[in-house]
Amino acid sequence: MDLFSHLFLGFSVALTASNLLFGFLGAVIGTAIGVLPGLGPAATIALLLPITYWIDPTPAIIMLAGIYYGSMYGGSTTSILLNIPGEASSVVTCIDGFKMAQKGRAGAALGIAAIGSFVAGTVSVIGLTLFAPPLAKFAIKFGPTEKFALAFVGMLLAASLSSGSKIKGFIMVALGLFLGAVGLDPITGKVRFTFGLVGLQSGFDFVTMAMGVFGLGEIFFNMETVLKMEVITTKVGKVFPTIQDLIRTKWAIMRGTLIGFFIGIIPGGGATISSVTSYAIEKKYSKHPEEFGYGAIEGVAGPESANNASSSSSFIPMLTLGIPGTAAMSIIFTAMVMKGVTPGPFLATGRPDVFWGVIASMYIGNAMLLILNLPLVGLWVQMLRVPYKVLGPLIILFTFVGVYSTNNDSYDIFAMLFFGVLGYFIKKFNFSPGPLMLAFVLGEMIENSLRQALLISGGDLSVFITRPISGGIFGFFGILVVGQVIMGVWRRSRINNVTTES
Amino acid sequence: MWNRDRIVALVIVVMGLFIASHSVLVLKFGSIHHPDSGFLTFFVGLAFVGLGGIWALSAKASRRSTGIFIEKNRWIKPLLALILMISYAMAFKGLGYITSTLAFMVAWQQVIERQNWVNTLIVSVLSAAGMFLLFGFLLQVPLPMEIFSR
Repeated sequence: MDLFSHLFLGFSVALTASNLLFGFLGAVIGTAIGVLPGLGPAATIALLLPITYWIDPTPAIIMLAGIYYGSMYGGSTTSILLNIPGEASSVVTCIDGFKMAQKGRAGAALGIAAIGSFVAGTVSVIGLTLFAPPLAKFAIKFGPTEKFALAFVGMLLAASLSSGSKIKGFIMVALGLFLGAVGLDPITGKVRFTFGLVGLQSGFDFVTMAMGVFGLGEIFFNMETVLKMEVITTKVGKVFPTIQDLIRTKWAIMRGTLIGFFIGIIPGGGATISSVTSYAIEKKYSKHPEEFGYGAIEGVAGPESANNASSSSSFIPMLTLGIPGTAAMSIIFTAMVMKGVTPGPFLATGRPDVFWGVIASMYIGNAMLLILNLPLVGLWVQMLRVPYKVLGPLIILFTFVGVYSTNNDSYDIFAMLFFGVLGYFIKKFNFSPGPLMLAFVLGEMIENSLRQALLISGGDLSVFITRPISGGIFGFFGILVVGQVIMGVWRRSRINNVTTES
Repeated sequence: MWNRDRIVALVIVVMGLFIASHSVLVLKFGSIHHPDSGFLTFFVGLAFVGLGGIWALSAKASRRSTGIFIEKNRWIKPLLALILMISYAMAFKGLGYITSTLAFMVAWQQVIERQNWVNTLIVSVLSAAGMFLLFGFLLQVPLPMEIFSR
């Protein structure tokens, strides 16, 4: 009954006119940026952070959340119609989605992507509703030892699961921790790594960093490539799949939902890994694996369901534990802190209007997105005709004015340019910016928790293993690492055996 | 063999050595019982050294990234873009929002996008006006005044 009363509160918050409007705006913007290649949800949320200064906390977070899961819906459109993923999480949708479009089944592909996304998103939000409150209650018992363990392991997991090599992921983590340490030490007040620059004494601003790395960095990098887009000229036609399509994909949607939900909870899990894992599983267990790569509808339904499920479940660690698991979550985390709302175990009890309002808005948002994506697909396709020559400079203008508006200081613009150059090199050398942002956000918590834990324990490091919760977290991480090493050795020995036999 | 990855890895190792030594000598490491300001940053520096070293060794072993450090001509456009943006940042407060933004947009459309003058003027004016409407009018952000109106 408690749960229902909380949900009732949530819906009473989410169904107000302003929250509905911002939820709708978030869904529309999210779908739009999902459709447009070159701009991801993390970058867009970063760009819109300055706008949220003028909005109340609840509608601001509802809008940003809407952008995040909305982009998962939009990403499939370009994957299916152009063979260009609108988002990283829609890469696998290109494989079979575009083939379906070439065979004149673009409508069915778009339709099943939207329906799968809706089902997965809704089921995932139900999971969020059920899992989040007990997890938050459990997390209230966490002391500095547990907080350090959770944040540290979460950060390492995110680095090891990021795209590209693990070494580069860990280097990004180290860089994020270093950049987070620049400025005044919050405990001793000593100035660290400012090199005499007064402007750095308050440290780097996350908004500036996020807009630079994601916004400008992306622009600089995109200037090196020319996107050649060949729009499918056949009519999209009906966007409702047939009954046979729905029957055929029901298990793919269910499996994708479960895969996405559980992977999304893990820091670093995210939508991309969920969709790739789902595709691999669908291909493995399909009755028609030979169709994969040539227009198998399960190859669209599963991954699109998975990426949407993970976009909702990734809110669980952020809202209940205060640990953002992805770059986009770390930006939403910062937005919440900026609005005076601290994500973590006390959010559900301290600000139930925000906590349950955001959850309720996701139910509404998923329904809005189904309506936006099915009948309005023609409109989204038209958006693809906006040339990047116009969009690129608009984004630059938006970042400049947006970042200036935070403090009315040109220094922030120069800082953003510095991070823009850093973001360019991050992409150029195949690093992933996600672990950098995560480590930057979690760095202060990690350092403070570590120092507090050592002060309390009198310098006894074994406390991180002997205390049951932190010991369990480190133990779980240890098992994962050992498991990965064993898998790596086993794979190599298989390759050697095959080579020897041939 | 010096390839792109090894050079970057070396830079990371050097950076790590600097961070670790600065943490110990200037910020002070403290002790395990009483960590000081340089405690965590010392280990961050060590991490840079270790990870950079591993990367340098694995880059040498794989030989995959043996491409030239800077691909010919691909960096010119981003560099031009950066120069324009720095100029815009310097002029933003000095010249005022409208003047600096119009100048930036015109320069961008001509130099980077190679648009014709009609499109340049349309995009520049509409973009500057649109941003002013959003930030200056709707959000009431105090944008820098024009130099000639002060």
